[in-house]
Amino acid sequence: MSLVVQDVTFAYATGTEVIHGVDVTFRPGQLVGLIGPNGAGKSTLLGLASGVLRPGSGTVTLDGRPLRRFGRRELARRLGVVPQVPELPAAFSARSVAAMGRAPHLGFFASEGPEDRAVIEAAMRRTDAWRFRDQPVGSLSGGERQRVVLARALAQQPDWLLLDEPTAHLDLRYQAELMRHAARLAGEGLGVVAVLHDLNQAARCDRVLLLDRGRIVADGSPEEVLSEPLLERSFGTRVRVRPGDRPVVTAE
Amino acid sequence: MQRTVARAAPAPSPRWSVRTASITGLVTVLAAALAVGSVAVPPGEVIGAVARGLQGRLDGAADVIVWQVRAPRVLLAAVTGAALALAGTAYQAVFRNPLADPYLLGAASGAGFGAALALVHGATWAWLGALGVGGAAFAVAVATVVTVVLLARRGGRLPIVSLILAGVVLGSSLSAATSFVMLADRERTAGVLAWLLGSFAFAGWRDVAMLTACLVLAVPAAMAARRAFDLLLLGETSARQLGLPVERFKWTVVLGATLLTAAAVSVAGVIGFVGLIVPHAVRLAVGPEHRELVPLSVLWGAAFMVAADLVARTALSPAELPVGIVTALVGGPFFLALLRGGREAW
Repeated sequence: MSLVVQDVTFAYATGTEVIHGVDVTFRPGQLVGLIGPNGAGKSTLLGLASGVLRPGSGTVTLDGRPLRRFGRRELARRLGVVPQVPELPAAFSARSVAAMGRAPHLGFFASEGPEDRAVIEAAMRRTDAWRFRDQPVGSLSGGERQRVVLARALAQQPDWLLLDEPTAHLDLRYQAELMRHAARLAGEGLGVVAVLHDLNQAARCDRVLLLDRGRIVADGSPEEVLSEPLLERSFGTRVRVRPGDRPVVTAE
Repeated sequence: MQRTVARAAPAPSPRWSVRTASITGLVTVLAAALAVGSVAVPPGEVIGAVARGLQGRLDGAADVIVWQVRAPRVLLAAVTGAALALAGTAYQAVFRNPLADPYLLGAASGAGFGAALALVHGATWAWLGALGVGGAAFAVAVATVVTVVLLARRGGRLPIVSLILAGVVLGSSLSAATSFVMLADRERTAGVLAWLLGSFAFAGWRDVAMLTACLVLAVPAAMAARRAFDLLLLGETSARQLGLPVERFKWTVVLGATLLTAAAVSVAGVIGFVGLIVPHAVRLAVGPEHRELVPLSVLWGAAFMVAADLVARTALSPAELPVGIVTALVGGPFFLALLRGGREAW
């Protein structure tokens, strides 16, 4: 029951290779933070893990089965993705957007049943998006929109949740709330992988992967990975880490 | 849980009231179009004639006018409008572009070229004559779009930008070819031009039956695809992550919408604006969700085309205007007014 990236390389159409032979195993019940400087390949690795990008070499497997062997709908029932900059049709209501998470569960001709509606409501309540369910997403703030998109991913009822910089548009309160959500979901048995820019959010994870120029250079607990020498080498700047139960990172 | 489920259930009334109003509107327009003409048939007579005709009886001149002269024409306008509006809705969803219309990939210019060839050379080239104007228009329209799709294909994918570019370029070339064919035989230029501008004057029951059959397949298919159309509005990557096989879906929709467009064009000529403005008007009225957009576009497209044809045959009576001119004259300003109204529709 794991999501395994095996010796994967990936190059974009322009030819530049952005992932070089990455090996990593994600396990359910863990909140994993993916950190690294800009251009390290974090979002690309997430794209590979979600099956949207095909590895140039190597394989990504879910429960031992390569992702490319999954049908699109089948995969969407297993993996929920929150993109970095979600594109949302402005006139759709928040609820309609969240309801799209049910698409992989519904037959071609089927309509939402009471069970689907209950799942959508629960997902939206969970991310505190139910209050503005009837508002068009175009009128929502960046943070509210992000919560709608998270609700959409939860409505997929996936085993895996892949988040690409989920806290980028959130204010302080919702950043903390989102990380608490993510941790709680991992506590319930989901595998959660989040690309994080804020290293202090990474401190809340069960496990942190430090990616640098397409390679994983550190993999371990926040205490292990959030260390001054490791971060300084990857980020190329002086870093101060205040150790503790939850390390605090500041750039000098 | 029971309580939350009950509260989450949508109230159906506003949605159904729009649908009911749309159906009522369509029926009213149809009745008016059957009643009005060079010989006026009072509404009561129209109802009687329709009722008698449905029982297989025709009594008197009014019944003959309603059933044999007007009904095929009015119904052909209705199914053509419905088909073009539906194809337009599908194209706009796939291209995620409000300017997309059923003719974007060259169906119109292809049909025009086919029809021009058949009208000008049908008598000399036996195979063209056998195909007929409609057949030639349909064949060349489909061939054009298939060519565009093949030209735009990039390793199994169908990038939207290259599709549009290939469609525009091939369309322009074919329009030039049509002009050449017309100029080479000036005697038949007027005929070709009239066909290009569209008309229901030669409508027959066979055309009605053919296009109705197409709609019987297309409307349920488009309703089934409503969720997929919505997903595409999230962008192709998100749509894929939510389980939509994006490339296969695009191929299928482009092909289906093209066949529908070509069928409509082959019986009615190239009638512009309907496929562009009807989905827009519906979107402005009820929002962009395809659950509403698909069925209402079909109804409004039908009503709009019947009304446009009514204007086309009565405005300058006894002369007739090409219906394509009416849709453009009415549709253009209507569209601009909608835009100026300024609600965000996507």
